[in-house]
Amino acid sequence: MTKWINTNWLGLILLMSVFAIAMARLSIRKVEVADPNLEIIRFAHYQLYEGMEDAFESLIEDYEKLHPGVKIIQMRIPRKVAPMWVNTQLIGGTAPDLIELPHISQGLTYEQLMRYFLPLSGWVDSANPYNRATDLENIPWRETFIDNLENRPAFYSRLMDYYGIPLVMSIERVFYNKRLLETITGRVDLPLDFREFMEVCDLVRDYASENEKAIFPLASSKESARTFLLSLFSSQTQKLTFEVYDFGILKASSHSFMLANLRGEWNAHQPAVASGLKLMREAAFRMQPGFSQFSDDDALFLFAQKRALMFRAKSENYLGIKSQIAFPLGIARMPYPSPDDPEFGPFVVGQPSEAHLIRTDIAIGVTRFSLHPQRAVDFLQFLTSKTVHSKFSQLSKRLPVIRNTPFDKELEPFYPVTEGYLFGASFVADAETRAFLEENLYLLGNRKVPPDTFQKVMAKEYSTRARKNLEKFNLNRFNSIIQTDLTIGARLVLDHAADSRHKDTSFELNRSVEIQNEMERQAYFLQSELDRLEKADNS
Amino acid sequence: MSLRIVGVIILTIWLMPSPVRVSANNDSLDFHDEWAKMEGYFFSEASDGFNKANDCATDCVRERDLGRALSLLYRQPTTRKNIDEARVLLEEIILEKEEDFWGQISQYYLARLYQIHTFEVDRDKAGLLFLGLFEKFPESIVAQRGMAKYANILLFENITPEERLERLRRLVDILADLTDPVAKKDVSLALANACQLYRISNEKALQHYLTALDIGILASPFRANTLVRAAEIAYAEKQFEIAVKLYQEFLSEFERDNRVNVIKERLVESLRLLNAE
Repeated sequence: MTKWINTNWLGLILLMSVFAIAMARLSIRKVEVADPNLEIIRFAHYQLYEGMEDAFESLIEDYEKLHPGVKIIQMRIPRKVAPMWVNTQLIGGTAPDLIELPHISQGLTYEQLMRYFLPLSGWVDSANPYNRATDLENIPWRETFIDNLENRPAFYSRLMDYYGIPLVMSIERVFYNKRLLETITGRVDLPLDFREFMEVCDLVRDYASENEKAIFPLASSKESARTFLLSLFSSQTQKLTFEVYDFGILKASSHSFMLANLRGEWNAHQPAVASGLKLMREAAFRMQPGFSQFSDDDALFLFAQKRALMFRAKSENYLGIKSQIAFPLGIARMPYPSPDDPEFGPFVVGQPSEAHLIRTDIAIGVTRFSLHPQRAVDFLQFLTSKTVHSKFSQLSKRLPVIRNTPFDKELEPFYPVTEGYLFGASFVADAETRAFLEENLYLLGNRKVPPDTFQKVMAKEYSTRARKNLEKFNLNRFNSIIQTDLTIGARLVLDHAADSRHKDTSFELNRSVEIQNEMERQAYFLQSELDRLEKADNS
Repeated sequence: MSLRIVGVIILTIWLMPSPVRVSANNDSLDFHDEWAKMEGYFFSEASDGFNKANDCATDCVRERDLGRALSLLYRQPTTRKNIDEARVLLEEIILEKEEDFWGQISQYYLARLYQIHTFEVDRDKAGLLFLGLFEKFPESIVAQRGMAKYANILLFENITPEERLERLRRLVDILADLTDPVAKKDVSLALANACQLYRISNEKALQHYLTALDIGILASPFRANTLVRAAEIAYAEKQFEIAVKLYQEFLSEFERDNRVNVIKERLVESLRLLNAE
């Protein structure tokens, strides 16, 4: 039988048509010629969400009005392709002036940061000029941020420098079903007291059991359970952190806490640690069974289906959660045991400050390809100045990252309470100890296993994992030291030459030498302690 | 005839040697752009610049070879061959003239090569090289900065407490000879850290922290931590006047630090104890 159409010809015709269309499009394509008098700043980000693009557009308009010779071009990059896109642009040397930094976990490397992005320490230590006539005037730009820019994605401790300017703040909150809460407990709002909070959870459990309904107090994913349970644990180590060796800086460091474990200064049976583990277990019982296998979306689904009273999620998920539920939504801070709590109080200094829980996000880096780095930084200063940032927050419905910035009333429940005391140290820091927790997380939420099972596993295995964690951490630190060595060498040469063509290198040289020496001391100290402990173990 | 002249001119130009980089004096650089690239983490580009420069005047050769040696230390993947080549280049620079800047900085980086860059790190050898450099050129900034590295090598090793005390004494002597404030500050910090972290002497740790703070710590987070460390030691040693001063300094400089509440409490307590004395 003869075919009524020849498919080879059809393919060829299709190919020719596509080629012709492509040629036509290419020939009519207009190349925008840049005005040589304009300073053009290209700004790439992945915030293709409701409110964000409009917020950027509006502020760009304001900035261009203020600086008529400047044009800011917004480049919207789909999130899924972002890391690959950034990589290509950086390697190809075609990166825009400003790029939203992908997270280290998304493939951005320290080497890329050093090589392709400008360190911002020179700018962040000076005041933001756009804060004139506000209460943030004359305050170093760094200190106008809610976290003093102390964390990633702004500050990279391995590189000891600032590479990103964040635009939003993120914090976890307990979202709850107000109607369900009232039905079960008669309460309108979730209590702020830890004991009362646990009682509410128990009421939910009783209600579910009496009515034979599968309703859980708290819907949780593996990720949110980990951060939540660890914050509870850290509420119990507030005192212990300062009792064990903490390098005398009054700041909880998981690494020094791990070293203290190896030195025998605490173990799983230490009362504060045992109390922390018990608290974690108590909280894990209030989550749905198998929570360690749940993704964020799975947990949200449970909450949206009214099968959980509460759901713990990040503030940036607020609009998404709101759009998926059909009941009045309550938002509350997670309560922690107070010093007068009869069971968990003895290990607590005071209500922990949420400063420790704040995460900053949407950090913008200035690439080394920028022809106008000063202008690019100026635009970032504009975006993060108090007045402008307030407008950004209102338009984008995101929490402001700048202190004392007025924001939308709707966001009020998300604003972190930074008064209070630091959380204690956690026993989890990097991949190795995180894996230890994740491998054993199921033991905490399982009523069938004896209550001290996690504790026993910790007593048996934790020190080995902590040692591995510290060894890897120190190896990375030595690699960073090696990387900074050449830069310091170049600075020594440039500084010696006192070349007028080059900017004053003395400050940067002295600062980088100071930081490198400090990193080296810490690395050598840790190494000497690990060696000593290993020798002691072997003998 | 005219064609012949043109031909001769072209031939002359063709045969002319390429411009030679000549070092004008000690304070100018022949490879400024390459150093600037290296400072900006553009190591490969800097390396290309150093490697392409084959014709150099005498001074220029040593600057170029230092650049080549440093580039080799970074070249990925790190290989024994690259490290050995870097070592040979540094040794040649030193052999030619050890007393000028290029000679001294090469000795510094030869010590660094043994300290952190080689596969088989040799801290003892690195320490001897740093010390040798300082003994030969005690006034040199590079040699003095090497003393901070020497202090780190010497103090933070798994050694007996007696040995550490002996090393501390040696470094205190060296500290007295340092004139470069940056080197003095970094050696003081090494001494302070060792005294504190190995629980040798709080009093000595405090003294060295105070020296470092007086000279000035440039990186803000690090200055904040050092103020707290020193204040906490002063508080523990019942030196409340010093503790009060340091806590107050911390609060005025880092009013938004997360430790403010604890520090405020410590300050109130220190003032109370100071007044009770």
